[in-house]
Amino acid sequence: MKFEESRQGGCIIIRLLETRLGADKAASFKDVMAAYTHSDCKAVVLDISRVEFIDSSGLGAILSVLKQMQHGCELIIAGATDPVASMFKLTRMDRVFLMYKTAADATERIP
Amino acid sequence: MGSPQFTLTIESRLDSVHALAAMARRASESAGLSGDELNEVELCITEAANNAIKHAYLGESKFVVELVVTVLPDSIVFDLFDSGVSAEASIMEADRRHLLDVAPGSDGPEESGRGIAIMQSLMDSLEYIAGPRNRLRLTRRLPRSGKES
Repeated sequence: MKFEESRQGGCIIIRLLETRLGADKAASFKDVMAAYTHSDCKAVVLDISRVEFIDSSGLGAILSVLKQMQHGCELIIAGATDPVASMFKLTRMDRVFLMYKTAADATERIP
Repeated sequence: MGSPQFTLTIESRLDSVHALAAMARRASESAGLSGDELNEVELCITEAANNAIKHAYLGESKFVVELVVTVLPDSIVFDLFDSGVSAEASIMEADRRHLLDVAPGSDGPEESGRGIAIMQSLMDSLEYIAGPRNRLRLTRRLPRSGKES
């Protein structure tokens, strides 16, 4: 699982460098994200702007991370491409996650 | 002249599924689907193949999954075959689309179990025949036959 980490204000930004988040990558994604679920921060912004395809296993992996987030630290989804945003909408996950168009939009809204 | 048909067989490995989905996408494009429709086909074939590998083959990689795509005048048919543990057709074909709703007041949405509901939502029909060689058939009507998107 390729990713980049950066920090801005009280946010940790994790930018996935993969174009697909499917069943074959779900476990490694969760392994990567586990390191951030107990971070001392206000939000973890998951930038998925490079991801062009996600299946239900990939979505389930993101849900798993959400459930493990430490109280007080939010998981925010940023940069969903059209096919990925459609998947979030189809599965009603757009009602579960805080979603922003870009990581910059997300970090601007976190004090 | 017979209907155009495309076939691909992969090892039962999750990291091979994208090849099946890509083939389904190309066949669908040749049949006249486009844009979001192609994304939906790719997603459904991925979900179908993932299910076969995870549930029929219990995650073992020594088997095969075969996809046969047949382009008919008014529809495109995706037949996915595995030789693993059969599911019950009644369970496979029961309407599961309600599982895509987020239940209020629970511990939050389940992390798995949406694959069939997704296929049912995006395809025009889903049929499953259990046997020594299980067959999941997904059918999508083609635009010229009046598919509403």
